[in-house]
Amino acid sequence: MMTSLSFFELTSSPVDAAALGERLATPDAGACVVFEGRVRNHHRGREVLRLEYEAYPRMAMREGKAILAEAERDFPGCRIGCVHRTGKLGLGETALWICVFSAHREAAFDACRVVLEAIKERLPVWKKEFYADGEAVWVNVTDEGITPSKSG
Amino acid sequence: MDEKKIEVLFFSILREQAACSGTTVNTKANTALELYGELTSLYSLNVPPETLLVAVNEEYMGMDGTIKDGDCVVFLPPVAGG
Repeated sequence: MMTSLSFFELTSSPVDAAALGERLATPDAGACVVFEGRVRNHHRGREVLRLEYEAYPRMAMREGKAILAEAERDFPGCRIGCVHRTGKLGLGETALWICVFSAHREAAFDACRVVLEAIKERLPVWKKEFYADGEAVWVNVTDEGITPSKSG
Repeated sequence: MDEKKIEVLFFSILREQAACSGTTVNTKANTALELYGELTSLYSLNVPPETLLVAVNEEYMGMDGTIKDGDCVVFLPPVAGG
C-alpha cells in the first residue's frame, strides 16, 4: 500500500506540475526531486510531430500503484507522486511526471530514478509517434526490432 | 476438454490490427499462447507471439501461462510509457 499522500494517476488532461507537487509537500521534507518526460521533436533521426499514448487503464493503475509502493518500501520516508498522460500530446507537453519528497536529497533522487525505470519497463502504456513524413509507428513494436527501448 | 469463455482486450497495435478493442471468445485453449494462435486466425494479427507478454486478470504472465474460464486475457506488445 502507498502512504496516504502518495498518488498515481492516468490523465488525458495537461499535467499541472506545480499544483500536483503541492499535494506532496510537508514541512519535514527538505528535498523535492521532479522528473518530467516531455514530448520530443525527434526519434532515431526522424522528425516527430506529435504522440498518442494508449494505456490499459485498469492494469496501469494497479501496476503504477505497485511501483510506488515498492519504491516507498525501498526508500522509507519518501512520498511519491506520478502522473502519466494518455491520448494526444503535442511537442513539449509533459507525458510523465514523477515527484519525490524526502527529508534528504539522496533518497529523493534515487527513488525518482527507480520509479522512472520501473514505469518504462512495466507500465502497460503504449506510444505511437507521428512523423513529419506522414508515417506513424508504435514505438518498440514496429520500428525497433521489438526490443524494449532503454532510451527516451 | 470443456470450453472456456474468455474476455480478450486489445490495445495498441493489436487493437488496430483486430479493428476492435475486445471480444469474448469460447475456446479450448489451455495457454495464452494457444489462445493467441486462435486469435491470429480470427483476426489479422501479425505481431510475433515471442515479442508479447500477457496479462491475465491484470497480472503479468508468460505466454505459456494457463488460462481458465472467466479470465480476462490481454496480450501486451512491448510497452513504451514515459
